[in-house]
Amino acid sequence: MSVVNSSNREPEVIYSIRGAQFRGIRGRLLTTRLMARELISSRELIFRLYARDFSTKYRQSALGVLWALLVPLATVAIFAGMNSAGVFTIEEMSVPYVVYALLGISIFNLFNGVLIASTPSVVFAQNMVSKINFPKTALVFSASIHGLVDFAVRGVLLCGVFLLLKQSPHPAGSVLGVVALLPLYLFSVGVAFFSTMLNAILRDITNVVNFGCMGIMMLSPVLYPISGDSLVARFNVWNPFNYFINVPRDLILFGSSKQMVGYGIWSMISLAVFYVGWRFFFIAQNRIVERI
Amino acid sequence: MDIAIRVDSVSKKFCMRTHHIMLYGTIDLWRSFCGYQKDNSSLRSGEFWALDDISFEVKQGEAVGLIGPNGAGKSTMLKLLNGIYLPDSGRIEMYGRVGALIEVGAGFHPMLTGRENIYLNGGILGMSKAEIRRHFDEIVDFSGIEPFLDTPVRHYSSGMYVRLGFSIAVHSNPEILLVDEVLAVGDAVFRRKCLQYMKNLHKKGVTFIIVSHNMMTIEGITAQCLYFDKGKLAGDGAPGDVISLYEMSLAQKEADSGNRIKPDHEQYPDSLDLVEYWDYGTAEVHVRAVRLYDMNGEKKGRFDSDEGICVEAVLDSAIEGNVLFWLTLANSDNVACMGSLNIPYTMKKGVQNVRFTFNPLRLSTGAYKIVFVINDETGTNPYSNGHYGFFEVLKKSAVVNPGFVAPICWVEPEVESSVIIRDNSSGGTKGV
Repeated sequence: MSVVNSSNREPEVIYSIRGAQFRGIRGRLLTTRLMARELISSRELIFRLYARDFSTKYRQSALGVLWALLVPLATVAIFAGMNSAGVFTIEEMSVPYVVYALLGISIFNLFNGVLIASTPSVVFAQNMVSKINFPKTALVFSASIHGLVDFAVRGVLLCGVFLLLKQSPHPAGSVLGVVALLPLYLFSVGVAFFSTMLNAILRDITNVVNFGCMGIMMLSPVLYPISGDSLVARFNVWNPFNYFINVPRDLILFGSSKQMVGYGIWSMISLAVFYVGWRFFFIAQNRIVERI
Repeated sequence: MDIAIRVDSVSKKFCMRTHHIMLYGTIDLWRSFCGYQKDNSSLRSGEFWALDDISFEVKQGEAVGLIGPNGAGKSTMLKLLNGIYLPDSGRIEMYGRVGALIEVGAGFHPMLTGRENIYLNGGILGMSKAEIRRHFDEIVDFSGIEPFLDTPVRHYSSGMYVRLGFSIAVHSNPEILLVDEVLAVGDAVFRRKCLQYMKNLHKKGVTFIIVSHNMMTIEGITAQCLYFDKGKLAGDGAPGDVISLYEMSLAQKEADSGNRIKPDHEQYPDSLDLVEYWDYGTAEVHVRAVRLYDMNGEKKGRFDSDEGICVEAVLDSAIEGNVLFWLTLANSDNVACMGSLNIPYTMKKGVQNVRFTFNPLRLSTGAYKIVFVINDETGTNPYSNGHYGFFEVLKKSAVVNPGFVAPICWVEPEVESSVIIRDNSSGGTKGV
């Protein structure tokens, strides 16, 4: 048992209305350094919380992780069926529709999965957060891993579909395409910080997120290309998902994309959203706990 | 001695209603987003002070007890010290790594096994994987749940849950340990083991803050006691004095609610109050006053544990004949700590004084009341049945076993023995 016994020492931590001030951490970019310190110190916890959720999510489930495949498969099957039945017409494309749609929905589900797993994470852990002092950001980061893992599982499904349809993705583009998902992931985590925080105070946010994700999917080029001069097409000029979905998909399928400028701009914005969301959550986490 | 905890003019407010939580929560979040820290020293509509201007210091290696009625702010104080909540005004300085037992097992997942939960809960409490591995065997040994280590904790009893949670928390190597009434569910053996473990930590220099409603725990472990009442610090000092203050206050609240068949305070202003009256007394004998004297005949309300007490009852009787008095001294939990049953007396019609002397008064520190029942000669039909209080007792000398009460009717038993099995190591024989 080690016990501090030096005299005239500084407090280990000071709690005041301004938040927690830790010994030896002062100066410029204080909040950012504290955020980074918290992330590094809680990295084991993040993975342990993820492992907990993963193992308990599928522990009494017959299909287990297959659920990550079934939902996108069913969605694509419905759209493919509607397309072939002539309910709506999808313009001619150089790759099979199933590959296009499955890739689109897998990419979109990265955003969807992160947001849906993260938003109620603090509320679900309310007993823990109100009784134990630990970094609440770990809950959001660990929930965001769900989106990544589900995407990886769907990647296996995609490989199967490529083989089945005798299609091949662009070799170098596939690697670039996966890397190009990073801005979408950062954007998703940034938004998740806001939604998690708000959901702790207003429980409506969970429903808003579910409904909003469905709406965004319908308005974005996830399951069908959007072109021409329609209202939806004009909206998509400003829609970040237009770039976050099309660019990685184009890179994987064709090795290049025509939307790189918009993608670059939105990548910068996604970085800002991630930082601002994280910082906001970091500063407000104690206030959130008080109001759960 | 160095400071371990300094609390300086700390206040904390909460909302009473959900719509205020939502409204103010949204406003405060927006303000913190904009970096605007409003002066939080005033209340908005629907808010109340859970803690109001609290200041105290704890020296390193000290054990401090927080006592007070429910809703007094003890747990809120502990959460502020742990950094779960932030103060709305004032500041808290913590000089050391803090471990908290605010609710053991709060981080457990019911679907996971005990083994998985040790790693999970340890991580939540700030332990690294290497630290948990290093302490794993100690945690399991201390908790005593080894046979169930691979069973999901949802199948654990509440006692097992607490055992495991306590065991993980105390092995997280804290320099300051905050403990909030967590051992209430454990069995007596484990509770004793935990208290012993905490005493050992204390000897090693760990600073303790303990919230408990069990005054024996507080008196047995702590050297300083803080009494919280309605969010304010109502007492700060040695445990005996502060516990007494708290119990007197509780007793006063109890007395305020009892208004039946009261003593005649106009004629006997120095009488104890009626704090409880049982309906099954026929009230044919009215206890007009219950007064306390020391052995010199001086009226007193506060006694040392080694001096004598004289209880004087002024009785106004409508009956005459043989009666049996039951007179016991009970604490505020209605536990009779000493006294006597079936004291014979011949009641006369009219007003009379009856005196009962207990010398010495061997009670531990605390607030006590006189439970005075006047039964008929069969001991089954009470004429009067009231509790009168309260008076204080301060332990005079060190109490080896705090809370232990020596009865006045202390009788030396006759001791007989017979050898069942003889130790034959020195060449003896076994026999029955």
